[in-house]
Amino acid sequence: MVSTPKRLLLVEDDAHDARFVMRAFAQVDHAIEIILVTDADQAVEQLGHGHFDYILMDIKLPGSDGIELLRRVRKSRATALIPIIVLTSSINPADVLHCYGAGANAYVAKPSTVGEYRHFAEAFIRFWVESAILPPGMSTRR
Amino acid sequence: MAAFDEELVFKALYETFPDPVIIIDAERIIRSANNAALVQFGYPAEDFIGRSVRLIYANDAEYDKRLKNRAARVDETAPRSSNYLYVRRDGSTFSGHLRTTPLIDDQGEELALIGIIRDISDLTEAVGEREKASRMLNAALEAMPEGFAIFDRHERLVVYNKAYQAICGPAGPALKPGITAEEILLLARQGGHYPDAIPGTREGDEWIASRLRDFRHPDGKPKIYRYADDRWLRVENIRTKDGNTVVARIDVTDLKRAELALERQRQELEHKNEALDQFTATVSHDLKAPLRHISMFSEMIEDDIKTGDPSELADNARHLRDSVRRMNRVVDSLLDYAQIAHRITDWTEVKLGDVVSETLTILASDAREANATFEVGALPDVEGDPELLRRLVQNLVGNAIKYRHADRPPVIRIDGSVSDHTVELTVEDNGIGIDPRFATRIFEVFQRLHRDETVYGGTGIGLALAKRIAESHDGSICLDTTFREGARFIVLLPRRLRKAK
Repeated sequence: MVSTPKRLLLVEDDAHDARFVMRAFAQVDHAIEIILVTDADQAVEQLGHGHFDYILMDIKLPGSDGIELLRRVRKSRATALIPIIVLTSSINPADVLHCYGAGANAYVAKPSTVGEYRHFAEAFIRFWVESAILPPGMSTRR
Repeated sequence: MAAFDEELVFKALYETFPDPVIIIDAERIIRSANNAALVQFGYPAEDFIGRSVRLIYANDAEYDKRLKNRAARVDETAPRSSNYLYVRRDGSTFSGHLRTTPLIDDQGEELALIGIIRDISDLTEAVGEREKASRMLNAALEAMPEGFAIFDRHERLVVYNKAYQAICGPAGPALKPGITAEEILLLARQGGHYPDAIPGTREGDEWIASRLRDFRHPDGKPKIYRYADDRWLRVENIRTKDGNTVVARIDVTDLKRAELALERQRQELEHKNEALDQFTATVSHDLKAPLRHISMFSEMIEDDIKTGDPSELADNARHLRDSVRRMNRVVDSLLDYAQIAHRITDWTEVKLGDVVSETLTILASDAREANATFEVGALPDVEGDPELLRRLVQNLVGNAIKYRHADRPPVIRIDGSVSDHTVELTVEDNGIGIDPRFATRIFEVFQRLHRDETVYGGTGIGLALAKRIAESHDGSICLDTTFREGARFIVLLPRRLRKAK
């Protein structure tokens, strides 16, 4: 069975952090296509154009913030079921709850070592790509 | 059977009659008095008969009143019109109700006058007591600060006090016994007495209906309603056993205002707490990000050295240095921000014109580079801290230069105006403008709308700083969201120019 790589929308305004994420996924032995956008408006635009299997996003974004993006994604029929993983620097419990409340599926604090980034990418692939049973409607590409 | 002696019977009746009976002649001399009269007035017959009837009146005024009434033939059936104050031999007095019958001869001449005097002093006293009690009650009702009124079972006003009349506002002058509760409500509504029942509105109709409901079927719980002039009244309607309704109105404006002030303070505090939470979250984010990067890049440099692959070494070292620099900038901005007191203490007179020209000198090289033109209007004087105001203006003008439009050279207009209590300073540009959605977020610490620090440099502290400076002067700053050609900021500062210092 030939499988096309899964598509991940990465919403990250910090160029360094974005680079760390791309690097970590590149080191994992599983192909995944990452499209990087740097703010919420661009993310919405991308979601309107193409199919995405996952969204990995920061909460603190320039302009309209991540919470608002979460709500927008969940409200739109076409994107309501996409798994959203929040990757952000805050570990404030209130922020975590806030994200889940707005529709996040998972919440991860930004790592501060190369090893942690690699672990994050590996765990992401294992959990979301290899093991997770996607909700109906999400298993095939549009 | 013995002959019936009529004269004897009348004499017996006369002597045993319980009320005093006195007969006077045309000259008003006492000609006869029965036993009861002698006992009542305390005279032996020889000291009573033959005296002028003036003897039994307490004073000249009472006697004159009697003479006048006699001439005017007042109605003696009513005690009110025929009561006199009489005096006994021992000088004590009593009230008596006098009824008279004249004795007329064949020619119609009046021979004598028979008077019956009933002692009504007990009754008079009782009536007097009642009147006194009623007067005291009325005085107490009038003196009560609470509005008080009684309505009968047909909802008609029976009694009310002054305070109630005042509370009825525009309906007050129309109050009179008989007016109904509904009429009072409608009159007051027409006069604009109820802010929650503006005439001609459906909400108003409902409000009046609910007031009437509470009047007709009181649930025993006092209600608080808003009245004109921002006053609050506690309204209590009580249905009595006999079907009357007693209403009490108490002005609770001070209480209500205190309650509202407390609620405002609570909300303000909540708002401040939220702002503080927001501040800490952002600050920790902006301090942690470069720290994380420093950790990452140093580890990557370590790996580069270990693996002997120098291709990324120089880049990683540069990123490491940049992260340290960024962290430095964040810390400096924070210090800048933290140094501004919540409220300045040293107020001096500041010429905004000087502040602006100083700012333009400082920003001269940036302005030249951007090919910017300035239009500066007449600027008023304010009181405040000249250095802080300079930083406020510098941040606004600096932003106006920085966020210029790629297609046109920046034109920056700085203007001022004065109204009664405030000075307005506006800074507007023809740059890229700000999405009105972010009109409040832009004033938060480290909120940046533009991700690329290389194009629009800065840590995102400028407008937060400007806001803090405006607020430290008891003023405010906002984005004019109606302005479309660019960005327009309005700073309001209290005028507070005092005469003496």
